[in-house]
Amino acid sequence: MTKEIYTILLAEDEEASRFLYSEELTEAGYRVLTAANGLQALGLLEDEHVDLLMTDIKMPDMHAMEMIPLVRADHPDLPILVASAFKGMEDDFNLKGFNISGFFAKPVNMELLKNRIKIILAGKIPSVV
Amino acid sequence: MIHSYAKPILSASFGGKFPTPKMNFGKTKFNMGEKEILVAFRFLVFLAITVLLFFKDKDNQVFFSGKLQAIFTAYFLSIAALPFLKSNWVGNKNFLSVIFLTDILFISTAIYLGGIKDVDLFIIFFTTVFISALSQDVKSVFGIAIVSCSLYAFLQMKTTGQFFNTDTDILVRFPFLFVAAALSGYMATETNRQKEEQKRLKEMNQFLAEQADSSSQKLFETNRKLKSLLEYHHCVLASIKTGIIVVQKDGKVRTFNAGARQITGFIEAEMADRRLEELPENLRPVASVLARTLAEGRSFLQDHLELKTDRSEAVPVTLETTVLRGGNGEVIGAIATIKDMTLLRQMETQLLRSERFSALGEMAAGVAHEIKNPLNAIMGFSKRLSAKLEEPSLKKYADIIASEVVRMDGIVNDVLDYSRTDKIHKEPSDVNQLVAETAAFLNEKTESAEILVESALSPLLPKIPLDIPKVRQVLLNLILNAVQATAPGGKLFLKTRLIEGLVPEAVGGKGEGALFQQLFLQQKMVAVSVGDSGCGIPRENLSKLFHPFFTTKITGTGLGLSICQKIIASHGGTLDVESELGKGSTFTFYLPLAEE
Repeated sequence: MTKEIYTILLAEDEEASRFLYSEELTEAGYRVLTAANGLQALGLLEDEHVDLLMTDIKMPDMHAMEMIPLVRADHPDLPILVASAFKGMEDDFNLKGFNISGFFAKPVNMELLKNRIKIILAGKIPSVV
Repeated sequence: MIHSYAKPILSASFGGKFPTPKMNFGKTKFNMGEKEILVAFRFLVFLAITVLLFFKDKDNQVFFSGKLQAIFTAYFLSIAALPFLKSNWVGNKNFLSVIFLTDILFISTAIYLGGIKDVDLFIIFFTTVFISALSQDVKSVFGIAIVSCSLYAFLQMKTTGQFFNTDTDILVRFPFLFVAAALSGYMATETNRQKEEQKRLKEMNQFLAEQADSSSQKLFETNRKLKSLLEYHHCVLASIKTGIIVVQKDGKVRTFNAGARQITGFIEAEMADRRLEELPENLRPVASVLARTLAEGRSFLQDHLELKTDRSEAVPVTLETTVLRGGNGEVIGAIATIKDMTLLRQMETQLLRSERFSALGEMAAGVAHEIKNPLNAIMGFSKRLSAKLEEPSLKKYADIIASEVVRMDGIVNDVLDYSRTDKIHKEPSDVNQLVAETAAFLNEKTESAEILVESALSPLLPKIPLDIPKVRQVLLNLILNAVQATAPGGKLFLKTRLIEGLVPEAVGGKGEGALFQQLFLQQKMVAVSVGDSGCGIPRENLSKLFHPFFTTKITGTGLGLSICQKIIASHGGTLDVESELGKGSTFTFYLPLAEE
């Protein structure tokens, strides 16, 4: 029997935050992949089917602004959410034409985040595991 | 100074060009009066001869002879012609000699032809010689006298038939004629000489008077130039903002300019002519350095000196002295220049503060960012706990953690606001309108706090470029602070003015040392003041007021005034505070007008 399940990739260097998102989203019924830095995230994107990417802005090896173009090269339509301690950077990302689906300032309101993910993935055909 | 001006003028007027008045020695000039006298005299001679001929010898037929008539007519014509001759002809010595010789010849011929006898001819000759002498020099008179004597002797012989007359001793008469001629000739010469001398003196006088006239004109001109030069130097000294005190070698104050008055508060009229040791106590530091400058002939520089004004305020100054040397290099005094460093010191402090603040701000932003990450997890997990826990007290604990995280987040956001360098969007705005709107917005607050708001908004303000939301934030902040500082029944003052002050030039450099590269311009500015009659700010807190995180409130991040200052600075303005404990505080921000 095939179960329709969406896969979310979390790129977050902060272990506590990563664990928090992972717990919340797993509980909400998503398959969660986690990466502690940009390179790990890019590797997982190559190996796995991912329906949505949620990324931190500042990671030890690369900035979200460096990573997103690399992601977009292979996955032009992948929904991307950005979460950061920096407030008001939404404009910067939009101006760059990164086609971001959402921006969340830390501390992230989990209910809002889950709602947004739900809406984004509603029209999308989930991956089959 | 005066010498250098007088010299060229003197040499210009007298330098080798002193004119010698033209003298007319040797030339006798008759004026119109003398010419008439000459005519009258000759006419008298003519009459005398006619009378002699007529009365002395009535029976003589010769009186009507043709020869005599011709001579009389010729002589009469020569008299009649005289008034028509040119004056300078009459004045000519040779011409006069000819005239007098003609007279003598006429007399002699008339007597000879008329056959006059027993008449003392000597009187007529003597008169002629004497008259001629009046207008001649000795030499000519002598010539006339010789001719007269010869004719006299000739006639004497002809009429009496003998040379020696028994009645009139001719031997006595001849020398007498010569003596009379010599005497009158000498007198005439002397008179002429005196006349010439007088004329020369008169000309000399006139020349000197002209010279004096032109000299005084030049002196007047020089005086005027000197006066305008003095005035010019006075204006230069008065316009320099640096204080300048000049003392003479004897230690007496010679100059005390407006700049010095501005800085010290003492006026020139009171300081002038005082000796250094007689200067007011407050000027002692300057006096002592000036005294050393005079004594040692060296220049001194004293930085970070504080001068007390006449109102006992301390003014930070830089004092510099120089030896004043005269044209020959000798010491003739000393000059002290006093620069008011108040503004520079304030700017240094501000710069130091803003540099420190920006470093602090960056650090704060870094710290805030680092705090956000743990907050993210704490917040998320505390909420998860609260959702999962069933025990109410435990649930409450988790909720408290979550709400405290929200508070922390608020503080961190303030810090980030402070450190963020948002772009300013300025547009020409009406400051008065902004002030009035902000005050109206806070009406409820001031009314409930029972605070009376007094506004004095200048109607002269032009529109200035402002980022309205940001400046409104500043006004809100200042007004709320004032309200908090003021007890019920107190007052709040809102004031706008158009003033002139120093503003950093827009093109100045930024970063380290910017203060010293930047030019400050005297410029018109709008000053906005928010004052209160509240508790005032303790002196020790005044300097810390704009430090980020400095607060005396129980709640508050201490970033409000810091942010205000940053906003005003981003408009090219400054934010100042004046406060007196127990009487209230006034915060004023200055915004430059738009560049033209």
